[in-house]
Amino acid sequence: MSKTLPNGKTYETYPLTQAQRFMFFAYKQFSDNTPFLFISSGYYWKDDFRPDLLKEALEEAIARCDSLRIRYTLENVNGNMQVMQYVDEDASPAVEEVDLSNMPYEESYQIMKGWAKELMPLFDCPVNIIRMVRLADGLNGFFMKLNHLSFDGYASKAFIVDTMSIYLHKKCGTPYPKPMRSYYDAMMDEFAYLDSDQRKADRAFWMQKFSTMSEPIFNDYLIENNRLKKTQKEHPGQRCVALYEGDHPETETLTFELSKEDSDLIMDMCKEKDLSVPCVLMLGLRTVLSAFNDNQEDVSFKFMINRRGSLLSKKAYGNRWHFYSLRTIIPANLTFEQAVAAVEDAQSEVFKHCNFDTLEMYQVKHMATKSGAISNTGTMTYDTMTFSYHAPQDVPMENDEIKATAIGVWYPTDFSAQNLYLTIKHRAGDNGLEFIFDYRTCENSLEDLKVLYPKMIEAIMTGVRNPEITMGEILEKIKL
Amino acid sequence: METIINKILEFVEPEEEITPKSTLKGDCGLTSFDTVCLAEALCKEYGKNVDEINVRTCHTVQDLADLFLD
Repeated sequence: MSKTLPNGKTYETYPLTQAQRFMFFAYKQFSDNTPFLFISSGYYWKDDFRPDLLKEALEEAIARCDSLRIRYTLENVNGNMQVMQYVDEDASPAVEEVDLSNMPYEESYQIMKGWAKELMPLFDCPVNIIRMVRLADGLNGFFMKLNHLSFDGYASKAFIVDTMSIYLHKKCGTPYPKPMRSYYDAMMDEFAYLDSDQRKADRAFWMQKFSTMSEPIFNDYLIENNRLKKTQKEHPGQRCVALYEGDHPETETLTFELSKEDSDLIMDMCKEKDLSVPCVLMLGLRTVLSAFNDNQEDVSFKFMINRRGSLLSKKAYGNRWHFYSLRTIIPANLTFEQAVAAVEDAQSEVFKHCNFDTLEMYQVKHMATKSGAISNTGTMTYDTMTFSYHAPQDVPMENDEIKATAIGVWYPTDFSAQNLYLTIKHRAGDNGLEFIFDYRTCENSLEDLKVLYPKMIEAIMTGVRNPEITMGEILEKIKL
Repeated sequence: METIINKILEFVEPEEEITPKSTLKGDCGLTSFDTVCLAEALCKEYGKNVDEINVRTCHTVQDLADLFLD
């Protein structure tokens, strides 16, 4: 199909990719008419600021980023209105300049959070905002409000890396960054998968997996108000919970900072033993969920996979998120190091078949599992919460002194389609770990989340300091 | 080995030249996800079943090559 714009230009239109479809579905189903469909962040630092060069760098980075020119439109496809997309070559966002340096940082943060929360239309109009911002105390940088159908967290960070690489090239003569890749090519790759033998094989894999595995069990992070125990009073033996009843997408955010020293200990241990950092963190999370549920060995939660393997997928921007359940059964006699390996094996098994999209995977799960429980598309789930780890994407800086001043800020919209979403990312200045809990306020207990984080860190640091300790010993150490 | 190294270069752009002794995560900069995708690509190249391959225990390019090169 095609679309002709008022300026006379005609563009081919394409359906949403599977990852975009899931994002749009989650928005309409669980967070409709909220700013959920936008991802807002900022990157600021202190240097002998050259606004002219940053503006040029932003404009060049925008020119290298097809995702910023994606437009969404509704088309009648066989009698049904369908969301379609096209890349409009004239639709680059203009770089606006805003000076917020005459107010305290906290006040400017609230203003920018307000920008993040403003509703914006989706169809046939600009859907991204980029602003160069001057803040108090010599901090300067840029704010981005990006459409979540066009960008996931990885893509938004990739734009920061590209902009800063170009800025440094202009300011300090460092090498110009290598070319980015075509969004169109990456989108075509996604569509090609839909008709591939690989998709049939992935479907068969998941069908076999779900139809032969034992039934998982829900492990609540709520302590006093454990929803499985409550459910089992009415339905003895039930192992899943209705987590998404009602429609209350309002969220708040609770952020914890892990010290640089402890963060480095985790990363050094992973480097030394060739272990995966996210798997260590996921082991920490599943251990605390186990501890909250009578040391249950069988724990499941959802995790986000950004599916950025090939250089094309890494450098073509876009939203590639798929969400999968990560189930691990870890007996108490495994050592911490063995348990990390078990988590990585479970993760690898999912990775091998994760191009199969989230919505269809739920259908397969529904057909294949005895109870018919499906997570997040219906109301019954075994997945307690959602986990996502943002690996460091090294943002280049002029020198270490300036890098230490850098801050990367995420502006929450205070709406989410997820019940509890833990994002772990690295701080811009010192690469330490930041734990961001985005929780729906309708049902979650802030007090319980304040217990979950320190217990999770205690489990992780105990294992990092002594990888030979058994999981049983760690559970004993962190018991409530 | 050249095929393996060329395949790695479809996933990462390392600063240093890749040799059989290069570590996959440290020297090449591959993530766990990259490593699984790389194994998948190599399985297609060498006609192996990805579900029967475990790349977690591969530390170096040589370890990976040993899984595929007889």
